[in-house]
This record gives sequence, structure tokens and C-alpha cells, in this order.
Amino acid sequence: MGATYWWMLLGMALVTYIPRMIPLTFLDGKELPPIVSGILRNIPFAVLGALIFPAVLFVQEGNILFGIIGAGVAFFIAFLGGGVMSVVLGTIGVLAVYSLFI
Amino acid sequence: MENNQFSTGLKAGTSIAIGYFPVALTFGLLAKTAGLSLIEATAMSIFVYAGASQYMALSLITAGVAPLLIVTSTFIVNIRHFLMTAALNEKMQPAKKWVKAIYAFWITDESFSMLATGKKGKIPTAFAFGVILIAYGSWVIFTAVGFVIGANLPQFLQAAMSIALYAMFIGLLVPSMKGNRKVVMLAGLAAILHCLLYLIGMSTGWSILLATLASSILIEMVYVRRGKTVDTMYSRKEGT
Repeated sequence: MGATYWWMLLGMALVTYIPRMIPLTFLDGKELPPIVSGILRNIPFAVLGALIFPAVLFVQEGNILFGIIGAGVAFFIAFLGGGVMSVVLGTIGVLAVYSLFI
Repeated sequence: MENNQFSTGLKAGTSIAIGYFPVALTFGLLAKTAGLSLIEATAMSIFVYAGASQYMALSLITAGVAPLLIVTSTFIVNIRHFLMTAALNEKMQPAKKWVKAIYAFWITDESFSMLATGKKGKIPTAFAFGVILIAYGSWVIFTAVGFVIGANLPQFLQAAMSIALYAMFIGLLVPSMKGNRKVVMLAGLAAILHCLLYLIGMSTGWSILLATLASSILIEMVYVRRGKTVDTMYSRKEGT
């Protein structure tokens, strides 16, 4: 690939770092209006919804059922009060068994 | 005390590290097929450290897209991090600016979700470092491992592990949803909006950004109109 690759990597590294760094340092110590800070506090929960759906349905190409079962099992374990780790490992376990049969 | 927080963070971050394992492994494998060297592939994981962008870059490299366009697309995919780190800023314990500028590098969808939905009150900096460093280690190491060993993991296990990140997101979300209608609405509306944007063919980076922002603003407006302050969300949670 050569030198071009490394220039591209530098560019990618910069445009990835900037959106991570600017809000954390520039907003530091600033009081935001309550409505803005309210919206910001909503973001973690909204982003999780957007990250999970629809992507979870497509984890296995051409088999939506795989993702539906995975999401279902994960919701179930989490709802029963399992920690993040048991949700992750439990879901992998169930899908591993399922994959043996398809 | 500081040390304690760090190791608690390492423990909390282990589920991210497990989630990254198959994704990084696959990235290493694909990088090889895209014609990168071991150093080039691992360097991308070390310096860029962004799953979605790295996968996208591979497919663009394979398609022969101009490097400048690849950088531009990377930026578009990562714009959502402006939103996340602005939100995270509200949650983090105060720290020197240069310290924040350092840990900012390791904020990903996953580490953000874990930190921002985690404990009540402010998040100690040492805890954050624990979470992000174990996740980063997993990402970098398994990129290299994936490149070297390739697809030697049994197929059924590879398939099953592809769910790991989503299972983690669900594991983070559900405890906050219990007894908290606002969280359910926030996540639900964002999910529905993202599905709609996906159906009309918008790219993932933009649609996550838009769905998240729209859901956060709309739900906040509904609650402000009803005269409920933001804090009901948190005080109610404590009651459950």
C-alpha cells in the first residue's frame, strides 16, 4: 500500500479523534442551559436503541431469525437481572447451540 | 482509592473486551484479504480505533476509492461522537483538560454506553481509564491475532460471537429501562427512527446520529411540556 496508506491513516485518526476530544475539553466547566443538558442526558439511552436496531437483525447474513433469537435471549437474561457479562456470555452460549443445528 | 477505581473499571470493561474479540478478529482477517500488511492492519486499530470506520475503510480500499474520500467518510461516520462526548462530559468527574483530551481518544460507542449508563453520580477518571484500556487492548491484540490465525475459530462459535456487542448493548440498556418509561421511550423511538432511516437507504453513520438526536430532543420536549423535569428520570430510578 505504501506511503499513501499512512497518510490516509493519519487523516482517519484525526477525524476520529476530533469529535471525541472537542466536546470533552471545550465544554469543560461550562454551565449548559437545562434543556440542553436534559437532552444530553437522554442521549445514552437513545443511542443504545439506535445501535441495537436494526443492526442486531443483520448479524448473520440472510438469517434474520438468528438476530431475533439473540436479541430475545439477551433481553430475557437482562430482564431477569443478569449483569452485562452474563447477558453477553449467555446469549453467545444459546446462539452457539442454535448454530450447531442450522 | 484511585487504584481501586481503576481495577473496578478493568472488570467492568471486560464485557466490552469480550464483545470486541470477534469483531476485531474478523477485522484482522478481512484486512488481510483487502491486501493490508500485518503492521498496516494493526496500526489502523492502534491509531484510529473505531470499528465501524475501520470496516468501512476496508471495503472502500478494496473498491479502490480515493484516500481523501475514505477520510471524509470516516469523519461522517464519527460525527455522532460529538454528541456522545458532549453527553459524557456531563457525567464525568472534573479533571484537567489534558487528562480529558487523553481519555477522549478511547471513547467508542461501547465505552461511552458503559460509562454513561453506569453508576449514579459522577464517574471517576480512574474508573474510566480501566474500562477503556481493557477494551482497547482487546481490540488491538485481536486485530493482530485475527490477521495471523484467520478464520481458524470454529464456524458455529464465530457465528454465535457476532451477537456479542449487541448483547452487551442490551445488557446495558435493560436495567435502566426497568420502571423508567422515559428510558423505554428514548430507546424505542431511536430504534424505530433508525429502522425507518435504514429503510430509506440512509448510511449508518448519519442515521444513528439523526435517530439519537431526534429521539433525545422529542422526548425531552414531551417531558418539559408535561412539566416534568429531567431529574424525575434519575430520582425515579433510585426508587426502584
